[in-house]
Amino acid sequence: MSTNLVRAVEELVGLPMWAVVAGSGTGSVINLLFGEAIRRSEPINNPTLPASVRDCDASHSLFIECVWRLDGEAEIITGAWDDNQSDGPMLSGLTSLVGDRVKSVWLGHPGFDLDVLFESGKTLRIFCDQINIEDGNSNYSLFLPFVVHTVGCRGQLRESERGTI
Amino acid sequence: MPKYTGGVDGDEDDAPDSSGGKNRRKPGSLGQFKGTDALRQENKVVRDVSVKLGLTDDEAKKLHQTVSGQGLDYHGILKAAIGLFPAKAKAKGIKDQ
Repeated sequence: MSTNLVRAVEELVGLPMWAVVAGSGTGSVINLLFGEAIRRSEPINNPTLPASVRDCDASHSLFIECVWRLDGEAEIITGAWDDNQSDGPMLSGLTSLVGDRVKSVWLGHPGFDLDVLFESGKTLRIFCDQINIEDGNSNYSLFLPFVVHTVGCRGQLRESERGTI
Repeated sequence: MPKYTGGVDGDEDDAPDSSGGKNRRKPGSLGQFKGTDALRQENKVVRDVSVKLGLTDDEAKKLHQTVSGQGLDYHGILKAAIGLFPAKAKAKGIKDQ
């Protein structure tokens, strides 16, 4: 199954990131939208989102529930524990990725940490710190057009069918 | 108001601690930023709602997209989840309070 995950993350290469969903009320959890915008069957009722996200979901997206950090070439831009309010560093840092394309990906073993390197030189580093079986929290999910690949608690992989957008 | 206990059983003590951690910035106030504790608390609230309704990864993402940025508390997020997934809420015997 890890071979499937390798292939899945490689699908991100070359895709532009066109939106980020993060902010107050959802802590450090973020959702990065890549690839094509696909019209939703029903718009999302969230006035804080841009219209493009309310009306469309992404063909490819990363839903990150573990710790992450966005690095520039010479400095840290933001990370999971930055202030997530609308005028805070988390949203401003992540928004700087909008329009950037994925240049390459790196998948670690055995925990499936993931680095996503963008053409701008920025790198999103995803650290799979969710290892407590009692909590059972997932680390991240990669949404492809028809399937969801999830790195679950303690590196357990699962695949599920993606529902109707 | 009862303290949030992290329970997922639908009892009143599912209500979150309204402080949300130290240094939480109130709407309209200036100069204070949300710290790690407040962010961890928000993570826990959303996860607890997802567990309570038995959401899939796909559904959890949809809930995240629906509530992110709105600064909702536990009851607000639960209400949003019930609105999005009424069949799951009904199957679990969860009602909008």
